[in-house]
Amino acid sequence: MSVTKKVLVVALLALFATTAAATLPSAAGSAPTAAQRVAATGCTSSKGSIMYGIAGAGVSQLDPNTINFAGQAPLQTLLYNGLTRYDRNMDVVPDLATSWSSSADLKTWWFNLRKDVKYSSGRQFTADDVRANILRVLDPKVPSQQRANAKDIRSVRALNPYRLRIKLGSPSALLPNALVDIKMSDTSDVANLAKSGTGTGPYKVSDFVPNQSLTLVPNPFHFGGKACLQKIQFVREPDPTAMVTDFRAGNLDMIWQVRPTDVAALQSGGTYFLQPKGVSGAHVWELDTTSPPFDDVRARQALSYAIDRVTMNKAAFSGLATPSLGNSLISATSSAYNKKLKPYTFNLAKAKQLFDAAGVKPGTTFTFWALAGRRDEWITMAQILQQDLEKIGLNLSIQRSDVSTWLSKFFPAGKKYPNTIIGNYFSMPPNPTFAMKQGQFGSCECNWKNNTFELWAAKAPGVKDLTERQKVYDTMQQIFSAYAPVMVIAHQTNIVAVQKRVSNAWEDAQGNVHLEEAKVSG
Amino acid sequence: MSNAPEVVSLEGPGLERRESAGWRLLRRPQAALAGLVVGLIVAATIGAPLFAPYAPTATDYDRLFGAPSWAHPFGTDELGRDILTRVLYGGQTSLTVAAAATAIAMLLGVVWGFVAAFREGWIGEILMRVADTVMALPVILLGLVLVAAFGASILNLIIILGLLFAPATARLARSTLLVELRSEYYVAAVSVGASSWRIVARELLPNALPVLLARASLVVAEAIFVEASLSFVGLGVQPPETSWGTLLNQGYSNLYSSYSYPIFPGIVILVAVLALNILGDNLQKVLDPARS
Amino acid sequence: MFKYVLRHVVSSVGLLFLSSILIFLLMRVIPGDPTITKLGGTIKEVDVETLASIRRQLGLDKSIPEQYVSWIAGIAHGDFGSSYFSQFPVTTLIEQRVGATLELAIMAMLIGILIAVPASVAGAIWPNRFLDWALSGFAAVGIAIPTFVIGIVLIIVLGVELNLLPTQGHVSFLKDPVTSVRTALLPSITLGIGVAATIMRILRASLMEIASASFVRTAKGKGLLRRQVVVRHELPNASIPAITAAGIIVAHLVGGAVIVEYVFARPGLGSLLVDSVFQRDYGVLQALVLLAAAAFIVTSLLVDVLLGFVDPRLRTETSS
Repeated sequence: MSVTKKVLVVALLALFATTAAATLPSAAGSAPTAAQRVAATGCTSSKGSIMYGIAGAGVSQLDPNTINFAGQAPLQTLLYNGLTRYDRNMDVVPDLATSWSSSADLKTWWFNLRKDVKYSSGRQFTADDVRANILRVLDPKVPSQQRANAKDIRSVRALNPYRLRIKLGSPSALLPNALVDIKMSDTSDVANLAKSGTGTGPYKVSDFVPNQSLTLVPNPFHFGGKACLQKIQFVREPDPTAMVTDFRAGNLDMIWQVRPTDVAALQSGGTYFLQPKGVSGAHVWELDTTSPPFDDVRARQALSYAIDRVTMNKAAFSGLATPSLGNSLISATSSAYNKKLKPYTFNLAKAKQLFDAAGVKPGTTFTFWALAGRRDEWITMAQILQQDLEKIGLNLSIQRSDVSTWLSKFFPAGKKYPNTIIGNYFSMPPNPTFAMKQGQFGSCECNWKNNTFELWAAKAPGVKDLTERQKVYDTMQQIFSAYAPVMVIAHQTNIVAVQKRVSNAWEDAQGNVHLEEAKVSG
Repeated sequence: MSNAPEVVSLEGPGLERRESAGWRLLRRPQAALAGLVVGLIVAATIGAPLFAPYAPTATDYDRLFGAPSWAHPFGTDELGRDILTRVLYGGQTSLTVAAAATAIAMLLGVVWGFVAAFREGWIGEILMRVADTVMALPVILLGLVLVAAFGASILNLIIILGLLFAPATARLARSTLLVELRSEYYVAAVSVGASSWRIVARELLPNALPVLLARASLVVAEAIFVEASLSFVGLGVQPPETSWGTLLNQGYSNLYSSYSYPIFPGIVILVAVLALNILGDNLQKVLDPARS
Repeated sequence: MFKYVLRHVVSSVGLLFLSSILIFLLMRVIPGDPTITKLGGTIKEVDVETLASIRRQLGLDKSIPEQYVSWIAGIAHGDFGSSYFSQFPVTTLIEQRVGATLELAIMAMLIGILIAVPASVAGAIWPNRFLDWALSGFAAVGIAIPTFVIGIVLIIVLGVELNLLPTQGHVSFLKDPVTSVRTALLPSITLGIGVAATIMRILRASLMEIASASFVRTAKGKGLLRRQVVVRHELPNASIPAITAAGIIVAHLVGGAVIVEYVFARPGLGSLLVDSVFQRDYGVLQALVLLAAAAFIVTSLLVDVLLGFVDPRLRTETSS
């Protein structure tokens, strides 16, 4: 090729790259396309119904900004909307906001809102509602999970009924991502938020027996197309076996969080499973890094070497989970995973060496703290650890308790629990920044404070270039793996079984099920 | 579920025993069979280390959820452990918990009931009211709350179950003793100047004993039952210890991985509780035919 | 007679108070409280202030006697408090679920009586060794077998494999009687077997005892047929012990309903009870326990009064 041609090719490539980068929605907030603007359900009439089964717990209250149970996640998009939402590719697209833009320093953002949105009570939705909801999430008296995402918001102002300005404390390219989970509830009736479920989504509540059943019917005021179904019922099943039994009997159309060991029993009659594009969560064992013996990093590393992740995957998950040999919060199947992490391959000799170095005497007993009636997989894994620890002279005592007792041992962050290993499950947001937030001080019940890790974590959202940001993520994972404040055992996708008559339901990369476009045939 | 209501006869106290109750019991075929079954179960569980084909925590990751076979008559569980072995060792736990809980319940109940019978005034009333209060609340509920409060170790289970079954025993002990206290024999003895405590220890207690023993076997059955229910909700014995209830729970939980898993523990519980109930019923009939 | 009734009523009310105090204290003693459960285990950032303000909202920052007194005071006004989670008033929650439990209890009782009475009477009329053995066998097994085992077997056999009856849920009798009965059938049979077994035990035993009573011999002497003797003379007398046991049967129903509702995913008071224990939903739990205790106590009271009428001997006893 001649020099001129080479220059032309390079220039064309550069042009192409720039245009591509400019149209990436997660960058400096460009205007979405017309197709993205319509939050349509894609249906012109409502017919049929779906029974959705959840095992072990039911929907206990309907306030979307204080939910504490992942099983009721479908309600977030059935009853409510946020300013933004995820589409099936996990891109952030408009929901109640039609477009947004930000200042060059990424600290000020403007959002334009739809003008045709009404609550299921008939009331018009405006920028004041957005302000009220965001302020509510930020209010320390309100037990909101979403506060972690919104903590950096310094001010929210309604410039006119359909335009909003948000100011942040530090630069972040990820504000639209953070806003996905803040739902616009009807704050004019705060006292009834837990019971009424009044929102702007395609469905509304027709009957609610807390912890037992919830019935949804179409919302006549919905702005984006008709609800596809006439009725959706959320039913609580006493336990996972009963849930599978009812599904097989044809009484349920979809069941949430099927155990891997039950999958084989569901492979018939055209039943299929939702295929999300990322893992939903990680089975994480938390340690208290501020009390003995796990205040010594060698003891933590020792434990990591003593955990036979591969066998645990086989026995507890029928091989369907992804063991995290690198002990990273990011799944090994994710593109953001640091492939250069040194694996903690199962090695009891090494574990014993490190335990000895940390001063853990033979005969010491650790306690494994788990839930009763739920997460039997943890008990299977714990018993494997028990056997393995016995081989190097250590004991593991397994304790199962009900949720309240279990939680009160280690939550909220700051409690001390020496000699204890807490079985837990971290939900994995698709964005690595939010995923790794769970290891940060104040968030993590492991009480781990590493200044370098915290510095990098604070920097990450402000890095615009994706390759550079990935380098930050790699460094964070490196630190996390070396210091092992928690034991990451395996990443898992929420398994949702669906009868063949149901179509168009999907599961996002966080493990949340979306039914807003679901329909039935026949 | 095996609380037989006391139908207290208003006629006189127990009769003189001509031949040993044991022999009369054995003459009834039902009772003999039940006694044999109970004996077998107890022997098998005590001798678990001898009879069990494998160690209770011996895992086999290549044979998860195995169906019943010659090598594993009851199949294998989620970690490849032999279920027959676990049933035998689980029996040790279940029977120990049940027996110890019953012992506590009987001891506590008898003392409680006897004191209430002797001090028939205020103290007796209050004691009985407290017993009624505890009995007014469903056993399962109290069990749940107490286990949630104090944790689910074997010792705690024994104490909690003992406490739960004591009130009913107290009522029985009290009504039995009241009947004795009204007997001419007692009144005569007191009028002659004999110390009441001596009379209680030497004569009344032995008279009441048969009834209480019969009741004890029913309590053991119920203890096995309640322990199984608590384990079913996941609040029973902690792994890797196991009990029949825990095995049943795990079997049901893994029903779709192995249909045979819950069947054997379930049958064992049923047979044990049944045999104990029959034994207890027959014991009652044999020892005190005036009562039904 | 009046004194007898009054004494029983007073002690029943006292009993109710004691039960409420017992549960109140127990709940406060257990580790974990609703604030923590309310926040859920997946919340990553909670500050002490949030916890404190939630406690204040729920009234948990006051001393225990104060909390108890305000609760009792509320009840006197008909306010039983609200659930800490759903914020529904307890009375609404009970209203939503009492239908399911009542239907279950009534059907189970009916099934129990329908099985037990004819079986016991038949056993008394035709003293056949095989029949006798079969009946006592049924009674013994019915009491011994854990409720949840019966339930699960029925679900799998009748519900899934044969697909005859629905295995979960609840439809109100007032809305759709047929479906309501169908949905309640499996759980009622499960519970009813235990009830039947209990009643059979008592009834058979007392029928046997009465068979040798003098008035029976008189009836036989009059030339009445065996079955007339049994039904008209023996049964009414034999029923007395059975009625005495009614209190125990109600207690069984209450306890058994907890398990059955759990297994059959039936939205009744039993599953409400279990949930409130696990969630430490004090408001709901206290009210429910009070209700359960009240049911037992009222039944015992009614039974005692009824017996007081029927059996004059009881009225003159100086101690109960």
